[in-house]
Amino acid sequence: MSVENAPVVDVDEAAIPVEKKMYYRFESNDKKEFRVSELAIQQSETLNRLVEAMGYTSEDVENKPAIAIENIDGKTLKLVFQWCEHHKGEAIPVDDGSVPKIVEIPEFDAKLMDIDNGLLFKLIWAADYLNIVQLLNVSCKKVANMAQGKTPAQLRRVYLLPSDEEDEAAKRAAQEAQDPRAREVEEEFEERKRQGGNSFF
Amino acid sequence: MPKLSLKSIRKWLFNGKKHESKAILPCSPPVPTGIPILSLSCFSQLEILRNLDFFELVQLSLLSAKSRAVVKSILPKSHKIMTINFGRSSNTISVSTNQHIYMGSYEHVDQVLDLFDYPETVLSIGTDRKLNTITEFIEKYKDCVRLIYFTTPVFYPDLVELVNSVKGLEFSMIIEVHGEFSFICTEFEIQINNPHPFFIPHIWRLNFSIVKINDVNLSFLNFADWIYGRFPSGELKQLIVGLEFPEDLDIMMSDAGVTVNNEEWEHPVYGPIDKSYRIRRADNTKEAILFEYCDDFHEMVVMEIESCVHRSLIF
Repeated sequence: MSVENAPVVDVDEAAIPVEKKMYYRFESNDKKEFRVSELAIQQSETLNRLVEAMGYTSEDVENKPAIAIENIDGKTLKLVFQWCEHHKGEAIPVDDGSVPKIVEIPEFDAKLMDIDNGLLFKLIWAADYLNIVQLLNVSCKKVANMAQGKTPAQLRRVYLLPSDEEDEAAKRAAQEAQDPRAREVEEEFEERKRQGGNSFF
Repeated sequence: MPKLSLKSIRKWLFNGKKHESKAILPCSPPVPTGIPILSLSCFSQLEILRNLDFFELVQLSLLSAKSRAVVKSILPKSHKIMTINFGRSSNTISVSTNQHIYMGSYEHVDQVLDLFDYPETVLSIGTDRKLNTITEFIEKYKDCVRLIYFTTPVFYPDLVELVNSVKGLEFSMIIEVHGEFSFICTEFEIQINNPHPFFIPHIWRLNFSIVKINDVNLSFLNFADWIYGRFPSGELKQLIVGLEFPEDLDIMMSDAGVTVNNEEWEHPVYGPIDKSYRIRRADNTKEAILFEYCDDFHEMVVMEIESCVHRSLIF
């Protein structure tokens, strides 16, 4: 099944599949709505538990507001649900803890993840947040593949990793940024104390 | 409609200025070149690292203290033994565990050992590499090195120098090309198994108190020379020769004119000794007692050397 044919649809496109299976409605943080089959949702442990806990009937799904996923935008969520629909019914892999991990990226997934690094970053973030094990596996594998044949300097650029000096500078900057506020709070506290108040609040 | 000419196009492109390619043509916004993996959750970071092979992990661990700590956290700690192969080139090594192989620069060997918490290490060495590098390595990683494995012939004077310089450390050494020729070094003693004939003359340069030589015969060791008082004046205090096949020490000593002492005495380790021989260095600085001893499996000749000025030997 191609990416284009994956049965994730926007509500306003009026392409609602006429099936007896239950389709849940989700809304992204930019107010895009998606209908996702019950079976596809099982790929996400987080969503699966959520819908189980809500105990929606078919009528509830239609009549109640869409379930809001506030941390993920529509573009990312569309990819996530396309992936879930394509892989619905598949067993969720069990991690054997091996290093290196053996993961193969299927053709569909490779096409789905043929996206810019920004969106790939969001996709990993979403897969982690929604606890979609296999999507996280393949997306992390895609990022890991970027390291192939790279020198340490190239790896630094690929993964945007700071050097020890940069880490140290960032730490100092964070401390410096925090100290003035701490000083402000302290000064305010002292001022209030002088004015006779016992409590800071 | 104005006529298009090359001049007019260049004017449009470069705004009348030669060789200046200012942003006249539309260009796409810069595409981010990387993925900020440190901004992902710890779980996602680890998932990415777990998909890297060992070589890539080592490369990553070289970037910063933080990256080394992260890489270290995902590597299994079950590796008890690591093999470091010193290649023919002076600065390349390959490191292998039962699961991982890394081929890279010698300068990164410390980081690689650190990733596995300095496991017991086997050094596999070709002789093209200077032995002083190996000595430095053994001294630096004395708690890790357990076995040194020479895969090509070794220059024996250098080998003695190597063994002497790391005296006090516990490790084994196998010179593969010469069959079962091997060393086992402990803090005070060295055990030499199946010594190569060309190594025999160098045995006396070993700075160990106790030298055990297994699977040789006395004639092989130029023992007659010893009997005539030419035993070494170095640190050696006890020489134990495990005979390859039984030899008649009595005939050898009798031929050399050394008289036998049949008075029984008690040795602290070997128990009652009923027959022994006493020899002395030509310069009268050292004396030695020789006697035979048989355990359940081996026949041995034991030689105990003492300085004449410190103690008179038991007779």
